[in-house]
Amino acid sequence: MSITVSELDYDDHKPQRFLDRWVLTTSHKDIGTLYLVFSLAMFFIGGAMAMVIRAELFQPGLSLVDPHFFNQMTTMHALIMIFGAVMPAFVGLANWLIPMQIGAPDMALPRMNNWSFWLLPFAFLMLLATLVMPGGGPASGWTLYPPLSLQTGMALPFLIFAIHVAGLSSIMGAINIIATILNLRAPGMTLMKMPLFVWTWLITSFLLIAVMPVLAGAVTMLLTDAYFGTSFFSAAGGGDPVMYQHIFWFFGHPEVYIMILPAFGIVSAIIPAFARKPLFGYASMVYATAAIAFLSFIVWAHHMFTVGMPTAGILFFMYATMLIAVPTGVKVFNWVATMWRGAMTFETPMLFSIAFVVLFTIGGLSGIMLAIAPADFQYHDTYFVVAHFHYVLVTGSVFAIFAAVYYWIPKWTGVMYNEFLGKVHFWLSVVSVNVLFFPQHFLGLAGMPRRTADYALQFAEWNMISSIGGFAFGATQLLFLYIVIRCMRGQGEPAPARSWEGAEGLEWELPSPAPHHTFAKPPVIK
Amino acid sequence: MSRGVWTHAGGYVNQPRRRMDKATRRRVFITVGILAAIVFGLYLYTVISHVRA
Repeated sequence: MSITVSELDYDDHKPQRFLDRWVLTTSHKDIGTLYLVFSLAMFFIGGAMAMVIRAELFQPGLSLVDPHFFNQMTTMHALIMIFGAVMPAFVGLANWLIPMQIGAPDMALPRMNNWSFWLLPFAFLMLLATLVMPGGGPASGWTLYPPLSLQTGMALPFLIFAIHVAGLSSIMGAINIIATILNLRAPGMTLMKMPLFVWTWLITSFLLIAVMPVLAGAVTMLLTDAYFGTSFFSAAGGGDPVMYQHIFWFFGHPEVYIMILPAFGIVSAIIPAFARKPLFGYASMVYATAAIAFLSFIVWAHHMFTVGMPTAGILFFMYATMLIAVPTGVKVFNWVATMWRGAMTFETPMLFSIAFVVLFTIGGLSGIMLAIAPADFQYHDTYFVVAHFHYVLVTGSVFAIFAAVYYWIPKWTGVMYNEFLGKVHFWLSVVSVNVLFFPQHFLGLAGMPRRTADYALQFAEWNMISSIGGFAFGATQLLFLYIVIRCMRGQGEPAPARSWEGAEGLEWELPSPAPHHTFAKPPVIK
Repeated sequence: MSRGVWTHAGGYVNQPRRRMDKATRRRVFITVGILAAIVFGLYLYTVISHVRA
């Protein structure tokens, strides 16, 4: 994609009062910052819970916390990391980048944008408050399968309301993004000229629109089963607990792609910039993203091979799942082909992006292993599954978010981050994350079940190694916090408008930091 | 694609009072209306389709 911008229009007047600037704001940039700060806070809260989990599993026996509290930690860790850290981080990036990348002055619905964000702190305060309620927080796993989840106690209605509110926030964010991309693109910015990050978010938004109401419906039915005498999921009343699993995973599997498609967009922006070559196969990247999104709707039951489905059903979901490897393979091929014979340099965003390609592929391959139904009967609910989705979500989504922050932080703050510290953060992260999660493959293959506070002696060594990796990975993220705070305080080399030599796109035409108001008059793209 | 120009009715005091041109605003509301209808429809369908006497 080549872009020639005819005219740039910007202004840097900002609201002066704190309340106007940060609470009542309708600026996509400030709301993006709020999302990113919120997500970072949730990342550390969810991370602290992961530290409790790994500390308990450091050695066999019940050594540190009560098993019920351990189950609350696994459940809350997942809910917070998925709905509080990863999704808001991507929405924050979307807010910051999409209007600038398509030449729009703001999101299409700026006030609703403010509302979408401010729903989140309330939702997660309510969720966290359940931990101090009588009976404790939710402990049935993030999937909230009945009948176990219906035994949650006083926390259940708070949990369900928190999910509804967070879901509402996501839906409003998705509607805003679709309305912005479809209606506010600058003249000349045709769909097939849009940056891949915009494309992946457009498709992700449609996924959100399609599946968040289904999750809302599922948890509404849980609520009425618990408090209004219905029996949607109670066999005793003529209902079906397995039906919940079908409904939940019809949401849950596309949700996985909601957390990875924007990451594909980020990596598709960064690799060409540091390989100093255009992205290989732009159109095929767009079609592959759309194909992955479509397929994500017809594979949900691979999460429940062991519930006793008809063989034809198992075979359908097995083969449909394997089919996802094709468009995903197209993407990995294109990233590698982009790097091929490029004039590559290895700044921190590129390092995280390369690690993404390699390690996400490991997560994808273990996903194919899990898709093989006869094998899944062995792997189901073991640590192999835990290893698989953490490779996808940590070395996939979270690494892409790190890459995005390092890549665009000069545009947000006007200063370059400390490259040495960035590289230290990368190398410590990439080593420790593999020490943390790779042994979990061995634990799972050897039969260690997930969501357990204690385990047989044979699993002791790999658990200890995994915990050491976990503590190291957790501590390393404090360095990331330090690097980001330094930039937010303006400490660092001033960043030029085009902060990276090979960076392409409208946002790099603007000064760094990006002025408060940009593209009030749309640029003309040729 | 946006063909309209955004104007600043209120200038840059606190938040700008931006107005989209009429055609763009109309398209935004149609987009939002369709998407909101899909969301409510899916939510109601998910619950109601599982109701049995």
